[in-house]
Amino acid sequence: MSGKHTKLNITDRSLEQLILMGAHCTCEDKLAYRDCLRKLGVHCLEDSRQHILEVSVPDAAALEANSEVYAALSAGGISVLRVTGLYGSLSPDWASLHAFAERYGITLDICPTDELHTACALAIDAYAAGVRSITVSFCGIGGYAPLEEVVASLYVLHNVTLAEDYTALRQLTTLYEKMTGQPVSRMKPVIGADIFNYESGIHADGISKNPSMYEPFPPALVGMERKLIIGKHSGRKSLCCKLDELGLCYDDTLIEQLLNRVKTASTDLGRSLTDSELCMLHKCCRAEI
Amino acid sequence: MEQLRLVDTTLRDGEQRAGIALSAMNKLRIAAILDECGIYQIEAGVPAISAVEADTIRSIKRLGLHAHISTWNRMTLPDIEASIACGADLLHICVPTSDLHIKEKLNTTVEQLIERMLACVRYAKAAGREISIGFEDASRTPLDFIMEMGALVKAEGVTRLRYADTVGILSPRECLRVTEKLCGLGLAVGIHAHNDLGMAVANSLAAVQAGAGYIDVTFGGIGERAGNCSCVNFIKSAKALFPELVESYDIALLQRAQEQILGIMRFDL
Repeated sequence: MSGKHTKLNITDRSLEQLILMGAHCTCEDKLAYRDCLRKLGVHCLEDSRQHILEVSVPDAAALEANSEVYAALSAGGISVLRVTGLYGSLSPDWASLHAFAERYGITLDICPTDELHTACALAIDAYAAGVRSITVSFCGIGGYAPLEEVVASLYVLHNVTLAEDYTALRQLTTLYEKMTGQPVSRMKPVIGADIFNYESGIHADGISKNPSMYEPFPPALVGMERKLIIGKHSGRKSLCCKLDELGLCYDDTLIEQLLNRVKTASTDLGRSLTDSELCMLHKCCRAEI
Repeated sequence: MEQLRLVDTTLRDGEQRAGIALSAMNKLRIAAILDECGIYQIEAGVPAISAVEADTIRSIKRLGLHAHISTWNRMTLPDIEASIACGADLLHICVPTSDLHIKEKLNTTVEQLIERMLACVRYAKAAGREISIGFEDASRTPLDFIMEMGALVKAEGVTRLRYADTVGILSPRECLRVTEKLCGLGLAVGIHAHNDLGMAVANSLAAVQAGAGYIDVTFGGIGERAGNCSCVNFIKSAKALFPELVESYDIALLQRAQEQILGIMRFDL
């Protein structure tokens, strides 16, 4: 497809969605938000000077059959056709969509929607098929492909580096939370606060040997840090790592006893333990030995 | 029509999420809720973690649920023994297959890996247990090697494989390709997807399209890092794409189960 040789263009529409939803956005916030997008190598929808026709269709055949689209394109003046929807298949007929846009000499832009939780996958599938203009929305606001998932997927799966520095995703998350007044889910892919926490003995052991064992990309890439948590699923090794981190001394006997205590306490509490709780249990074990 | 089989791992990979810990009573409560939703198999935990965990799994088995009760095992005989002692119906054995896992985690060779895997399979077989073999970090493993390992365990009488996208880096395109290939082995195939790039549901749907009959899910999608394939989201999407394969699942029931389970875990999505 001809698109393969053109530069990749990612446009974010989250600011539009935030404003539509009545989020509290000051002028400074909007400027900072745009600045983050710029750092990520992503265009802001509002800044586009192109003449765009946006149409929502289930598939390529429906686009062909759409008389309004035909009339609008025939009238001329349109430079970009943005196609949303397309969630009825895991791999829509990209070639037909391309051919359609080419017939009118306009750029095809794909803006997948997330009705079936497949928006990011569709954006990536479109990229793999040669689509070079994709519209997304930070955090998936408005029901589109989440910007952070799409840029991370392009980086991990296709070696596409849009930005020198992806840590702007952290600032963007903070701004987004401020504007919506809602925290982003702690397990949200790429930007969730807890996604690089690890506890289970198997993962702690693997990460101590080579972090890439249980991480899709290094946390530093997106301005985060990994964090070892101690609880029911901890093993000897992770406990040793944590005690080292806290500067607490131990030997084999103590580790054995402390690990049992940790597992029991964590199970009874129904959660992992804080550093200060671990220090307390460590003190108890030392006093008993 | 033969329905898709859900393998729920909320009590194993879900609980493994950093920060979550379940008491014996709460694991039992969750197992009963899962059973009411028509879950085919409950991955109840890892008996090797502790005697308490092993006891809990034994109790889950004694609830006499419709669902098959399975356990998760590393490739070691003590893990397998602990699972047999729990009375689990099915033993899932985790076999790391990527170079990274074989060399740097297990510090072993391919020959020794195969030897250990076969020893574990034979031991569990001799005890009369059904086995599922899971290829850990399969998505970072050459497909030829996975196929070779699959053929080896098939010859030992194993009937089911699980392809684990351990760090969540599959795309549906790739998932479709590998699942189609794996299904060609003539074994039942399952997919275990992680949501690191937001594609766990899409990958699981692709696996179904390619012929996988077993889908690993968790309620609320909880699990390591960005979590696993969310049961409710997966079934909702599957109802749109392959309604005849998921007729038996009731969205309202699953939704209610999700609320109850996350409530028990005291976890806000």
